[in-house]
Amino acid sequence: VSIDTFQESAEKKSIRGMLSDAASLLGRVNLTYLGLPGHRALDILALRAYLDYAICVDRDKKVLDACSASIAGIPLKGTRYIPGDIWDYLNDKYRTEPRVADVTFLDFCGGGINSSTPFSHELGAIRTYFAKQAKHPNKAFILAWTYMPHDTGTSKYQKALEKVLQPADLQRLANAKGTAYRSVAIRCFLKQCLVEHDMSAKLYHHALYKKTMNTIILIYARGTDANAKITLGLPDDIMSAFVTRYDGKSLTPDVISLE
Amino acid sequence: MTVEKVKFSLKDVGSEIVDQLSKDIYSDRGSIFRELTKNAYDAYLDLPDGLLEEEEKPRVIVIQRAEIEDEGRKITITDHGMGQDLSDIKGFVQIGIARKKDVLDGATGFRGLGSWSIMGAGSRIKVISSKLGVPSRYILTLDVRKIYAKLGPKVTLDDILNDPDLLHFEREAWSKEEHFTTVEILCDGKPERINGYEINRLWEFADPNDKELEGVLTRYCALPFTSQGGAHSDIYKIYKKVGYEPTPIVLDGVRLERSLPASLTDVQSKTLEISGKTVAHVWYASNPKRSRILDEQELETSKLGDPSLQLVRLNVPIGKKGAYKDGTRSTDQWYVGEIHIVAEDILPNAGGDDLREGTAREAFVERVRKLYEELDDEASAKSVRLSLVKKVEKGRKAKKEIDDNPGMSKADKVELENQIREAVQQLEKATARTKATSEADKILRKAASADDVKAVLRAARQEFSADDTLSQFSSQKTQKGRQRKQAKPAPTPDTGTAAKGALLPSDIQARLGRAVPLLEQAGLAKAQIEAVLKIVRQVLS
Repeated sequence: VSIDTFQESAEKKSIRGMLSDAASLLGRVNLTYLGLPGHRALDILALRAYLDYAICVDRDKKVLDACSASIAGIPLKGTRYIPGDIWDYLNDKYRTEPRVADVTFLDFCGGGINSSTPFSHELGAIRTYFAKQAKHPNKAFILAWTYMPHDTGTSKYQKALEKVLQPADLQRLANAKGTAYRSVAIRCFLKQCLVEHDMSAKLYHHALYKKTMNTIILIYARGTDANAKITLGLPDDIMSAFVTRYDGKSLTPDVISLE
Repeated sequence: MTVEKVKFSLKDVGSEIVDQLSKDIYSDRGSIFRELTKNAYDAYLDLPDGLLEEEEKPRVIVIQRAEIEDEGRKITITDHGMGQDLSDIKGFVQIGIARKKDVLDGATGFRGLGSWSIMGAGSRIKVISSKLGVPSRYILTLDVRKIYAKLGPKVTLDDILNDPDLLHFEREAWSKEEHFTTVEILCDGKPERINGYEINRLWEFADPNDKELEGVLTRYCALPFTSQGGAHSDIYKIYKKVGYEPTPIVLDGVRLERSLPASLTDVQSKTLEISGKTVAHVWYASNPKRSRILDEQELETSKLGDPSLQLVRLNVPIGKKGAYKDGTRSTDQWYVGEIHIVAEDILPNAGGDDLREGTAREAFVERVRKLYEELDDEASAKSVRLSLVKKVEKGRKAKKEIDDNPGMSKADKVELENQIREAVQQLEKATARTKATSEADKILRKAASADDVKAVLRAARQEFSADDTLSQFSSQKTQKGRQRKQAKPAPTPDTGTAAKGALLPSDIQARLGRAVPLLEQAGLAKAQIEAVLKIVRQVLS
């Protein structure tokens, strides 16, 4: 039998490598991972050198079960398995989670924003997440987010974000076209969260795979983290960060502008 | 008369044997961990030499505890040993068929009870394993709750073993380079009885916040000493002699290893023999400057448990410390140490709390008792030595005090002079050139022959000889002193209690992509990164 429905790819491997590189820039080795590591827990395995704790979320208990077996051999100080939806978890339970996530990887098939009424479930979850992170100043964190345009169109984004973004960013969003639209929307939203909590940030990587799948790796902090080995900039800087495009055909990726 | 051929099958074995096998033998929850860690240790034995080093994997047993929302608590015990294929993993449900002893040299487990021995530990037990060289991982799941609900006098072992709802195997494709075994015990609630049988016995220990499990592992499992520190080298020599490969346990990320406190610098080793045959290797350590052992805090920090000597086989503890010691003296408490059994016929009993009965056991127990007598004698000599040094040092201190305070009161001076007298007379007795007549004098002379004691006595003699102190307080000078000397009881030993193809373009592209943020980190701007990628593309093309 196999319950591993997610196919491994060179791109995923590379993202995990980048996530590990980014984790090394935090300058500490007692990190807490939060995410959907899946049945093989490959994210956790890639980050193992930096982790002390792992909070694993998945709708499928069987996946969590397999996940726990996959990481059983890693000497983590603690693990928690949360059966359920990651957005539900971030919305409802993360604020009372005893630990704060140092590396959060929202890696799943699905659109970035799938709901808009009454208020985007996804946006609410991310806002709750940033609110908790903001309570831990002078500490850099990583948020990685993989998203695909599985949503029903740009209108969801527009509707969900119109009450959240500043006019300038709404204009930016209105000017965005095609596949870049969602990325502009998500970057604008992340920027807004950073601004609201007086955070500085660096978009460590924005990968675009096969024209549709995106992965953003953001390093951010409220205040200055003396241990971090990376210079963080203004929230608006993440809007001008380039995108690395992988078409799977040529030998090297392209570096393109988002806007 | 003709012979009737009668064949038996699992249908002829009552199902309740499953519980009987484990209940009486592993009545103690700590024994469950001992059994599991023993299996994990044994898993490393048939790994190709040097593989772990090549893979940069530590030889450890990883125990993790986790809370699973809406499901309960889970304990996993993982090793990166050889792993198991379907045939091997089937052994977990076979009864009384142990392969280890035949196949593995130096294996600790031998009873062949597999997962049945840990049945009541949880409500569900899984064994997940991937064998080196086999491109699959196998999962054996035992639904303890359902198994226990079904056990009964009319149910046969066949009804249990061949019901996939109770017990089943799964296989999935896995990397053939992976090699590990994880035993996962899920407790879905507090301990409870199902059909009269207890489940979820490890519920409390499975709590990630529980602090007791570390102590249980310390008492019941083979925890090696750290290899760091000079005093530990003697212990590692014993490990080598007995064939034990140090395999620390890592509990929730914390490496559990024993260590000798810095004060236990006197490490001795012995070989126990019976009829010229080596039956055990012993090491014991003590504090040369104190008669008693350590305080509880030191013992706890060092993960030494109680003081005294522990009987072990391949470092797995057998019974309690100080087992088989006779008499009322507690000088074994002055030491910490281990008796590593190597004799093939001296084995632990099924419960691991004693040795198996037999003539070999009797002779061995006798030899262990003699060992404790030897330690008793050593402790007595040490006590005399420490007492001698203490008295002489006290006299030196008293003399200095008198010299520094010429105007002190007569009463104070008399008291200090008594201390000097005591020191001088001890010095004379310990260094006398006449033949020792009493056993007490012999012990005292022997104590005085130790290098550290010699140095103290030499310094004292010089100080006392610098003026007339030596002659003034000599026992030779006064009848009173002689009488005091004669009346003085022989030094009584301190009897205090102590303790490893070709890449597709997409692969290359993905890998090079990882360099993009690194180039940016190195200070390259977007245009410069584009230029670098262009050059790389041209070179690779």
